[in-house]
Formats: sequence, structure tokens, C-alpha cells
Amino acid sequence: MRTRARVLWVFAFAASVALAGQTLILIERQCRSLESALRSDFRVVLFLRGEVSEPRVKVIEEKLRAQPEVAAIRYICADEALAALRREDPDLVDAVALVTDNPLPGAFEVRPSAEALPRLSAWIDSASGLADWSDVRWKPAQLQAILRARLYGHWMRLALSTLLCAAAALVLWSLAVCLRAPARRAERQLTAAGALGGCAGLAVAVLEAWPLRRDELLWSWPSFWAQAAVVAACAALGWSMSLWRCEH
Amino acid sequence: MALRALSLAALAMVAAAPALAQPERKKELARIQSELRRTLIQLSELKASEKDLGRDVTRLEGQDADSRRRVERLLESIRQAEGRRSDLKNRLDSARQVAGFWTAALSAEASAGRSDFHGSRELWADEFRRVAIMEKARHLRGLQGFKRKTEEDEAAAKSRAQELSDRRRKAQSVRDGHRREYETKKAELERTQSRVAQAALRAKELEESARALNALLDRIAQAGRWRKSGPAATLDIAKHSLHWPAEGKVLRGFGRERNAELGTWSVHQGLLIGSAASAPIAAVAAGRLIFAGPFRSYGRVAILDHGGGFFSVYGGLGEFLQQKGVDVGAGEALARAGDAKNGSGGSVYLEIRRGTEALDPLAWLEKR
Repeated sequence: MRTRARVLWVFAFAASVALAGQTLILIERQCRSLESALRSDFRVVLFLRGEVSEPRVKVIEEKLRAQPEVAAIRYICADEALAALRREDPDLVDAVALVTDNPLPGAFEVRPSAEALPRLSAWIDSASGLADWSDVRWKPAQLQAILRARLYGHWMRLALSTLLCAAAALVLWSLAVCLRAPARRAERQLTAAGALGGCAGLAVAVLEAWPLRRDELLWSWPSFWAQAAVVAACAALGWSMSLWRCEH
Repeated sequence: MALRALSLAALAMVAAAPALAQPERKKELARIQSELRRTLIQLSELKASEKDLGRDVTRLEGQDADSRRRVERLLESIRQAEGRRSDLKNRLDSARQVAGFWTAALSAEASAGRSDFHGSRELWADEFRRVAIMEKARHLRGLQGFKRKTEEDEAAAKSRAQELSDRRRKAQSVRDGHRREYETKKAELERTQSRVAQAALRAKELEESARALNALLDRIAQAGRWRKSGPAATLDIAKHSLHWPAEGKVLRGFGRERNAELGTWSVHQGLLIGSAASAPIAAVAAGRLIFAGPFRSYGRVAILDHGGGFFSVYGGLGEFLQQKGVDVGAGEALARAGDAKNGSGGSVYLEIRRGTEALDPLAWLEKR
């Protein structure tokens, strides 16, 4: 009876740990996905002032490309930009076309590298002197979102890594104990209870996250190995708990 | 009346011719000729005045035409200014409507939904909005400047219309003044022309009188039938002893009288005495009726020879009551009074002559 109670207790504890771990994994995954999506969309657009000749455009493009931490660069002429804008928002273009044909200037779309984002202001300052820009546009809120998603992702990864390290330490400790005494039946039961609890925790976490999946455009499912690691960690937790109990 | 006086004087000279000396007749003739010269001078002066007035009238007509043209030009300018003002008002209303439209459009676009966290394509839309807003702002500034300028133009047009209206009123006032002056001058010209015509007629009558006088003098000098004594005959009648020919008041006295209208002097050598209509005209003294009949513009004339070169002449008579050549007693009726010129009652013109000299009848008629 006491063994059964211990098994249930280990099962519940492992399920709770798995639930927390899976939640952390889901959030980390979400942060990574969000950062990736925002970063792939993030652009700094440098608008030229007035008409610029094609050779001059080439020169400016090369100068920008020579800047550090530039992932991609593309020149878009005014007509091309207006055509694209007309496809996306014809009403807006038609409304403005009442005043003038094409008020848009030519511009360079620059996609900074991920490393450049925290220092984007400095990068823009260095790029501002390369040409006579009429306007330099980017989305500061998007940049803030990227950086925050990156921060939260790092934070989650750090926590998960800590948990996995703790689980690894428990496994090592359990192995050391097992080398001194042969494994008993109760140890196997608690290990299995831990693994089962881990699976249950994962399942509960998935069930909890499942309704949110439809609300989030950037939903990303955790990898199999991450979840296996959680289950293994839970099993190790149960195993170590059986050993700790047996010694006392 | 001057002509009448001169003519009667001439008649008196004719009647007294046998008793007058040749130098006195020449003197009377010279006086008449002098009066004729003066009248001719006045006539020439009046003609010169008429020419001046004609020039004034021509000038005033020209000024009137200029004023009318100026007023028409001003009216045309006012019409143009009003049209321009109306046009500016329409344009101003259009500008206000366009400005309102663009303001609403800009507000709508500025508040258009966008995401701050995603969608780099929106950067292009943002830039497009920005440059569009700048373009529209520039356009709005242009519209506002146009609106301001239009308002200024409208105010200027209003001021110009007011100024033109004032000038028109002033020009109209000047034109009215010219018109009044023209009417006044024209009336004055017509009066002057009338006076010139009268003066010319008078001069003509004087000339004819002078000629008639000369002719009568010649005939009487040849006949000499009433010449009873020499030219220096004396008169045995006491002053203030003659009867009045009529009972009325003296309407016009003896001597020189100024004609205020013509600005000339007339010599009256007798009295004009009022009477009842068709009243009998009595002889002032006994004498012979040596002339009874019409004489030029004096109507019926009677001349009594009282002897001693003393004559009494009655003019403007009506029906004769005595025949020529009869002797008439003092106070005896000669004729009836002619109608007065003013249409009420009658009148008689009386001269008393000694030879060719006209005497003041009041000095000889009984005192009243």
C-alpha cells in the first residue's frame, strides 16, 4: 500500500514537472517562432531624395552592402514601389494620384542581420551619411518585439537548460547509487511512474495549449526530442526519488 | 417805348417844323442818329455776347458728352468689377470645398489602421502617405494662399467697385452741374437772342423813323402852312394852367428812363396817362387839330397847334371825335382813349412841344 502511494505521488510530481517543462518548451518555441517571423519581415527602408541616376544607385548600393551586419539589400525604384503599392492598396494610390502621378522616391530595402538589431540605431547613423536620404523608415515597435521575443526565448532556454542539467545530475546520482546496490522492483515502479507522470504532464500541457493554437498565427509545435527529454527527465526524477527513499 | 418816344419826338419836330430853326432840327436828327449808333453798338455787343454764349454752349455740350462717356466707362468698369468679384467668390467657394475635402481626406488617411509590429510593406504605404500628405499640405498651402489672395482680390474688387461707384456719383454730379450750367447758359442765350432780335427791330424802326422824320421835315418845310411866326415865337400860356387830357394817374413820366432788361436808356418826351376805357381825351388848350390819324407804331395820333410854336401831341388814341383842321376848345374832347397795354382801362400819351423842344407836361398841366 505504501509502495502504491509512493508510485502515485511520484506520478503526480513528475506530471507537474512535465507540465511546467512542456509549458516552458512551448513558450520558448513560440518566442523563437515569433522572433524568426518578425525578423524575417523586418526591413530598414532608406528613401532617396529626388531623382537619382542608375550609376549613382549602384554606388550607394555598394556602399550599403559594405556596411557591417547587412543580411540583404535591394533597390526598389519609384515605379516598382508604386506598382506594388497599387496592388496592395489601390484606393490609397488612386486617392493620392489625384494630386500627383507618383510621389514616391526610389529606396533601398535593407534587412539587417540578427546581430545588428540591438545596435540598429548605430547602424542607421552610419548609413545616414552614405547618401542624401529623404527619409529612413523602420518599425521601432517591431524591433522591440524582436528583441523582447529573443530575450524571452533565451530566458526560457536558460530555464529549460537548468532543468535538464538538474535532471542529468539526478540521473548521474542515481547511477552512482545503483552501482553500489542492485536495482529493486520498487525503483523500477517509481521510474516508470515518473516517466508516466512526465507523459501525463506533457499531455496536460498540450491539452492546455491546444485551444490557444487556433488563436496564434505564429504557433509552433515543440520538437519530439525536447519532449522526449522532458519525459526522460521525469523518469529520472522518479528513479532518483526511489533511490532516495530506499536509502532512508 | 424808346422807339415810340423817338417817333413821337420826330412827329413833334415835323409838326413844329415851320417854327423850328434848321440847326435845331439837325440837332434833333443828330440826337436820334446818336441813339441809333448807341443801339447799333449795343446790338454788336449783344451779338458778341451771343457768340460767346454760343461758344460756352458748345463747350458745355462737349463737357456734357465727355461726362456722359466718363459715366458710361465707369458703369462698364463697375460691371466688370462686379463680374470679377462674383467670379472670385465662386472660386473662393470652390477652394473652400476642395480644402475641406482634402482636410477630411488627410484626417481619414492619418487615422488609417496599421500595425506597428509587423509588415515592412507598410513602410512603403507610410512613406506614400507621408509624401502624399506633404503634397497635399503643399496643395493646401497653395489653396490657402489662393484663398487668401482671392479674399484680398475680392476685397480689392469691392473697394474698387466702391471707388468706381463714388467716382461715378461724382462724375454724375459734375455732369449734372454741367447740364444745369448748360441749361442756364442756353436759356440765357435764348434770352439774349431775343433781346438781340428786339434790339435789331428797334434799330430798324429807329432808322425808319429817322428817314420818315427827314421826309416829313422836308415836306413841311416846303409847305409851311402852319408857320405863323418865327422860330423864336413866345408862348402866352402860364405854367400849370393846362387841362389834363384824362383823369387817370401818370403811368410813365417825362425824361430819361433806364431799361434794366436791355441795359439801355430811353428818352421819354411826354407823359403816359391812364384813363377809363374809351374815356374822352380832352385838349389841354384851345388850338387847331392839324394832324389826326395813325402814325407808325403809335397808333392814332392827334396834334393840336396852340399857336406861337406851341403844340400838344396825343398818342395811342381810340376813336377820333374831331376832324382834322377844326379848332378845338380847351378841355374839349378830341378822341377816345385807346386801350391800355396791360389790358385794363385806357391810356393816352401826351407831349407838349415848343417848336422842336419837348417840354415837361407836368410843368404846364394843372396841379393835382
